Amino acid sequence: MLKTVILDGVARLEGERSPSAIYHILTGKRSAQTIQDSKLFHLHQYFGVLPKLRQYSFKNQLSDLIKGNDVVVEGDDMFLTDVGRKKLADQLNRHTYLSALNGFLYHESGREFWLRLILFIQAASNILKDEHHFFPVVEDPKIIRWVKRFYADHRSELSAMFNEIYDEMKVFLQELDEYQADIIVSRFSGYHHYGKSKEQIANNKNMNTEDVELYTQSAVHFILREIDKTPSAYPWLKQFVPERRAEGLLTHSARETWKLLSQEKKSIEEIIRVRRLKKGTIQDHIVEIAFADSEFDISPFMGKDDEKQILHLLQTVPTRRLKYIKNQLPEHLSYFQIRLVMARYHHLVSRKEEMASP
Amino acid sequence: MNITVDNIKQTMKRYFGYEDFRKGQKEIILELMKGNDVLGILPTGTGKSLCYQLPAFLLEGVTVVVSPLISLMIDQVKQLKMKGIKKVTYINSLMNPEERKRVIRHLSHYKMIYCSPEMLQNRYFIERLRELNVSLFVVDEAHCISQWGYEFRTDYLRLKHVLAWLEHPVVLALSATATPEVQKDIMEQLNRPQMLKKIYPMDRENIVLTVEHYRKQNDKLNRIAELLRRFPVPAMIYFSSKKWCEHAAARLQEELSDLSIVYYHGGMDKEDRLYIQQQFMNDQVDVVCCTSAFGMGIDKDNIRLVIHFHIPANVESYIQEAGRAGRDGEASVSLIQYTPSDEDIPLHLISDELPDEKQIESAAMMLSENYGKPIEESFELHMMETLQLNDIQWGFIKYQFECYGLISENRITLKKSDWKAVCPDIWDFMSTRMKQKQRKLNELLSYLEVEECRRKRLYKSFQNDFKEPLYHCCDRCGFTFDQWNPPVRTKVIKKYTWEQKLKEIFHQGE
Repeated sequence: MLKTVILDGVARLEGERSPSAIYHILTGKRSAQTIQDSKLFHLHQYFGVLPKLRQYSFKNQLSDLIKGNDVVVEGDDMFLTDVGRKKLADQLNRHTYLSALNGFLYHESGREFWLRLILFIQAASNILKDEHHFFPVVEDPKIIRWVKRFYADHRSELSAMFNEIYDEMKVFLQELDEYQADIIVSRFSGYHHYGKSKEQIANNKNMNTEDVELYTQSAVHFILREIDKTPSAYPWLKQFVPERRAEGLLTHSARETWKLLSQEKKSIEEIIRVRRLKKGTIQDHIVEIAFADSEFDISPFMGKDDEKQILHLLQTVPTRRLKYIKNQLPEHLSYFQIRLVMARYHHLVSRKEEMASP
Repeated sequence: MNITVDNIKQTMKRYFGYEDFRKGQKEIILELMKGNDVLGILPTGTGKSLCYQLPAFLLEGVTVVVSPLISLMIDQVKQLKMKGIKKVTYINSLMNPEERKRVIRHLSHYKMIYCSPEMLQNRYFIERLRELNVSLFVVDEAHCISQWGYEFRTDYLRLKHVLAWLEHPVVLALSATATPEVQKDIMEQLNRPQMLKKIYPMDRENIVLTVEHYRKQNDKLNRIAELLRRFPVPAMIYFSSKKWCEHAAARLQEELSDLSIVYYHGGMDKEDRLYIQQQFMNDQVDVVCCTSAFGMGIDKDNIRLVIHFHIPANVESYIQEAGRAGRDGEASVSLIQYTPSDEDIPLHLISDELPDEKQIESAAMMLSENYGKPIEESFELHMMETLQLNDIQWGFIKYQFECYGLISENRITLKKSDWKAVCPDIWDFMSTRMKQKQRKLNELLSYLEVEECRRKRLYKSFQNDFKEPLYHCCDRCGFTFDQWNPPVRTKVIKKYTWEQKLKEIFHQGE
């Protein structure tokens, strides 16, 4: 539920960031700061899962939490109360579906996958009943073009394919709990049948539309993860997964910088000249790239010893406040260098986590 | 052009699958083919759009259709595509820039282009249109020119300049409800005084008219519940606020668990609105509690009951909204519910649409202080905030100033000294508009109170007489709900598990 997600956000960011950082993560703001925050504070699972979240809905939910004495906000700082902490633990236990979210990896491809899927199901269900006149539930021309193409490529085997997609789909849905499976299937449209809108489901189940979206996203991310793991098990559904590119999460401007840096092997100074941007901006881009790309080499920007020194400090201090960290380090180490090492450190930690999880 | 009725019929059959014309279609199409401008007034649900869709394919060049609502143009294009007609597209300011560019780049691929009046102010778009041969220019729902043009959709009044730019294509203005006064306004605003009028009677002989009075708002809801329990028919209930819509839908659903009752208003997500609309058309939903945002473009023929929980702002809106009932010709009812002082809501809405004199004066002063500067969005926002104007009111002021040359090409050309000369005119115009709207509301209010036959009164300002009602006439002529026997579809509400739902959609186990 959105409230649980916000509580989780507060718990991870408390004392370090203001509530708007959570909002930016949820809406997937394309800024270096937000991309880094979501990684640094382990909130990447929520990155971009609610792109259409309105500022006022977020504020309403937050003020409910404040009124309920779960969260305290003072100026730019926020904290979880003991009540809030208990509530969070309890809710994370109950809403286990939230753990399947992986916004950082899937927020974009997941949305496209879902739209392709519901439009294709609607189309195939109708066409197989010889109904060629139906009102497409997806308006996005890009999605419509894809589905048309996919249909044209498999027109001759439509019936068999549809049966097999049913089997693949069922496997996934059975893995979800009943409640979540019901939400997902309610949203499907087919022959002479239009699915329920998010708002209808929210009203029926007495939740927010954002909650419906979270249930949907988490199911989609779960499916995508399973497909990633064993693509051969899902010969049809894997074709609905859009191609992903590593630079997907970068801001447009950072992407430009990346090109110059990695393909044309230009130096920072050269990039500054070519792009007519300030040094700080280019450095922001490089930090962003370092967070997005776990293989990114930071050695051109500092010596091995400097890196080690920063890394050591990061492993020992409990905060990610830059100013504090900078003050603990020798003068010659810049904010830019600290942020680059933070990115490295982040990748190291997550690699460890991945190894620890089954 | 040498085209015969037979040619037209063939094309109609080929593209649209119809054998015969409906009333008015042939007459309008023939005039357009001869190159005459036409003002067509045809009642809702009589196939208005065919009047331009068919010529679009018969004529050489492109047809541009100006449509007031984005949802309406999307619907129309989707429906045409469903019929296999592919060379159609829409373009509006809500599309993402990439898609919009794509469409504009390929403009010459299309026979029909739907767009908003605002889009026609886009230089790039209009330049591209100019390169094509626009042979027919259609203003759909043309009463919007008169109803909205003066305040918040002022680009409607700029259509005459667009026509000149496009080197005067043939014009078709279409509407379902336009009094002679509005008809005149449409022709004047389009600068086409010679338009041929093709006016068809708008009375609907299968719709019964009735009005009920109550003491409290809550009595209205109770009455609706009672009626729907007795007549579980497809119904629309009109409200003037989003809040009431949602509240009523929730309460009615609670009381009537055998029906599926939803709400629809302009504040909803695009996707949610689309789903609701399709569910209603597909008979999955029985009752829609809605604002006037729902309706245009709804092509559902078995709506049996249209209720106005809040009174409409004028007779034209009422006729349009009530006219959504019974398109299949079966006995249908329109009910207006009234409690004392219900007119306060539309009165309030009217005053909200116009700025007051002091606001206009201050706006003039603020502009004169920035003489010569271009009007940028940030400046507009600052102005609206300082003077407490909503966008409708600011749109009105801006357009008025443009008319008097105080703003030209989006640059301020207003001097303090000019203002003195024009301000009496603008104030006059404003009070005229205000009075006009109040008069229209009063017209509706007096309709509610009428002692004689409602039919007679309702259509009075549109036409001289009306057809004999098919079933019943109105409450004044003795109709009560006891006499109504609409066909009732017994529906079993199925409570399916997700497995069963999934099977159904995927046609498994059949």
